[in-house]
Amino acid sequence: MSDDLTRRDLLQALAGGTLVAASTMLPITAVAQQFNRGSGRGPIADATGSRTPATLRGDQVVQPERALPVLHTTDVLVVGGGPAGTAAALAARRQGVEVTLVERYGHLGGLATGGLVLAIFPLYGSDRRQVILGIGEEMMRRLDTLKFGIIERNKAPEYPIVDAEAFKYVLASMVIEAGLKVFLNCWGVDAIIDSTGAVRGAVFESKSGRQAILAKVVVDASGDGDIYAAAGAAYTRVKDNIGLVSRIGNIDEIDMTGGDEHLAAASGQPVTPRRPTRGAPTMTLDGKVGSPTPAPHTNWLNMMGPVGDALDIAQMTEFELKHRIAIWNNVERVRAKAGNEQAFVLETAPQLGVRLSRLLHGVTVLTAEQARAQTKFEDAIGYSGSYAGQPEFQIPYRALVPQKVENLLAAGRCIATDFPLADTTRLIPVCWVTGEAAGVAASLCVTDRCTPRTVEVAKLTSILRAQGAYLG
Amino acid sequence: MRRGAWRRRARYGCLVVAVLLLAGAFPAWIPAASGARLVVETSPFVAIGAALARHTIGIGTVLGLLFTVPVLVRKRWYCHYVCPTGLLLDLAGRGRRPNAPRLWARWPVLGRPVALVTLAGALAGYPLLLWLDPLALFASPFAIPGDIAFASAAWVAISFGVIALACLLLGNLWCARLCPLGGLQDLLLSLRLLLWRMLCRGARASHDPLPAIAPRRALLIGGIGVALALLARRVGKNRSGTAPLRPPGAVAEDEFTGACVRCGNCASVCPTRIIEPDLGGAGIAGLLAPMLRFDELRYCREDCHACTVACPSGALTRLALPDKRRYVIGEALVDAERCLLILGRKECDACAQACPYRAIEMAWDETQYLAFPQIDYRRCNGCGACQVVCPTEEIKAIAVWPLLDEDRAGAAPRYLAPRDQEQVAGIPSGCLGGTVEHKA
Repeated sequence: MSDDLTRRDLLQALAGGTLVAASTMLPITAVAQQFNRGSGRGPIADATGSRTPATLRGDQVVQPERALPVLHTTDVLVVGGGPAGTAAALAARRQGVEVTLVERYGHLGGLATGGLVLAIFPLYGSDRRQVILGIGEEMMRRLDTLKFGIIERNKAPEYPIVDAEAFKYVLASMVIEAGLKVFLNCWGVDAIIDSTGAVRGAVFESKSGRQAILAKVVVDASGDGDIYAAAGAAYTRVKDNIGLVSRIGNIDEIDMTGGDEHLAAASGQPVTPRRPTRGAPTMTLDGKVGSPTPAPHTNWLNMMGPVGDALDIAQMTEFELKHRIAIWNNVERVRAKAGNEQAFVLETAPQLGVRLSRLLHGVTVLTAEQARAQTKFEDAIGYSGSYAGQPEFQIPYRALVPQKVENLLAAGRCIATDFPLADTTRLIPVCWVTGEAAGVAASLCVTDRCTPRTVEVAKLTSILRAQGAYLG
Repeated sequence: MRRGAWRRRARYGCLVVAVLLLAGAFPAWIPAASGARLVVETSPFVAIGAALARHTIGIGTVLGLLFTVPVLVRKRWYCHYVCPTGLLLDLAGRGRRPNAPRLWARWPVLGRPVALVTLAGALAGYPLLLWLDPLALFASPFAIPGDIAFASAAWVAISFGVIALACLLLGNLWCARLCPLGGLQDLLLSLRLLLWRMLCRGARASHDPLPAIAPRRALLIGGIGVALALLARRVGKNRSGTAPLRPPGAVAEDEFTGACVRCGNCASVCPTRIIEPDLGGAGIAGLLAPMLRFDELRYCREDCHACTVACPSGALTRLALPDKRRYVIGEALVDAERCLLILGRKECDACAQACPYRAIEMAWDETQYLAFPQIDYRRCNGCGACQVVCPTEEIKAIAVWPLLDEDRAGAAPRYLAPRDQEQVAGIPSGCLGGTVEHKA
């Protein structure tokens, strides 16, 4: 590309760079520095198509063996830019190693932004102390400084609600400031295994085609465990509810107390509930739907959704289409209620609300039984907050380490827990905890020339504490 | 003099034993629930009234009848040798000046018609005033919990306290005139003498005392008793879906308020303290009868059947633990306008997590496109665990409601099918863990 650079371009770039540097828009400057590649419009000289297309042999489609271009070589490769992946990449980078973060969508934050899972829950212990700190807390502190960034902070047991766009802004700023190598719109499709069976990178599909990224250690923060599954790690496939969250605009007229109760309280009469009927309740949608977000006049509306297989693309497609139709229809019914005439569908989440798909068979498999028993682990890397009568519980490092595969760590919802407990460990702040720990552990693999299995736990936990994580 | 000394010793002995049993002092030999039951069961009034009303003779009835036998020989034997209530009231009345005039000196012995009305009512399935039994009154203070709730204090004040106070001021009015157990003893002795005279015609006729109640008047009072009982049952029958939640084992609502003697045993043995006296909110017939209130993580535990064991009158059928789990207290119902899940406010499944019988799961309604807590009524016995953990405030989005009569073939109690009970066997006990305080 450098031969396209003319003197005029250079002067323009210098002048523009001075202007931008003079302004306080640091992230933009950094973006310009990282990604500036000139701007020559017109045909590209070396444009070539795939030379090894899949071929139909009889009724079999065969992909011929081919060498893949290596896009990039790095120390730590983090696959997935959701809450776990961003925390992992930032934590690893702070230890001074080269980190590459690859994300399937065009934004960072995963379900916390693209899935509109705006509730930062569970964050607190049963005594209402915040038990999840570290990088997640840093992200929330940045959100604190933004107008309409986050609400209900430090109001346990109420949990914070973030704004998805504010969170995307925060994450983009953080990865650029940290000097992370980031690739968006890249779908991790395969693991790269060396002759000893250890993971040495991953294969990605993107508009640039199929490319490889090589790394000394890989963190699978894909949520679905796509990389550890491809690498041959043992896991359990699970089905769970798959919904779609939406945001509804112009709905600040909502009487959240409930009309009848409000009237009764005003007249001093005790409220006598009506006897409900058995069976599926009739949703009245009388304007009490959803709950407030940082953005004014905006509610977010969760949908639990039917049970489905998140690895079945036909079912996922069906859900995504039907969920969007249902959201539109529901908001039409909300609009029919007096006072809500101006309500509208602000957005449906870009990402389906997949809860669980794969659960790793780790060196340790954390169980709901252990969480109930408040089991203490010598390799604890943090806590999950208290949830539905379950007090806060420790998460062991070895729940991130696969039983069989080397050079690979799991982080986020796909770590090694049993299905009942995964309902808690899949939640946003807990993904921060496992992500941060996986990132630090991966950096130790590089600096100490060890594998995830042989990481020195005492060193790992002391670094986590130094990074501000809460370990009890 | 000798007999007086024996009487005194026997009554003090009975008082001590009764207190120890009610306080559950020998948990290893006699569990608190069984002990409390035994104390009230010694009353012939309770035994006969309950047996007539329930058409059953149990161990409790036999115990009560054993204590009835001497009554047929000696006038008011139970009062003189056993009754701990009488002893306490005697002591209370002693504080008064001995020669002060007695307001009630010319009153008739009201206990006799009270006993008669009650037993006549019992024949119609509703022993009207069985709750005036002195042993039930004696037991009721033991229902006061450590943290004295207003309602429980009122329970005692209205029953035992008022009578003790009256005796303190007026002398032992209760034993002499009002006690239905005393009245019953008079009636039974009178009846025995009547039968005796019929069998040995003419013998010692001149020495016969006057009958406790003149036969014609007795018939009239009996008739009134039956009529009132039928009326009370009719009122109770019309309560479908609105009666308070009764403790497990409760007989049909139209019989329950009559059969219950208000002794408070069920409340005093309940480890979670969910049994409270009904302070008239559900009508005068149910005044002070036990009702359930689920509150602050207190629900009807799946590992407890103490109240059904403690009930002396059969108002709560005695149930083994597996059967108590099958007894349907009420049904959990979901209020769509309050459920956080249905409203899309919070992904909440607290009720399903808490349910000890695994009767709740989050279901998906395809037509309305919403998730909701679906309750399996083959498993739900209305224990209230879901209600107490529901994070909604004041009015809970999921709550236990009394059964509608159409859901249980009239007013009869309903039990879950044993087949469905098997499905929930092996449940870990105390699903809400250490949050429930057991009474020591």
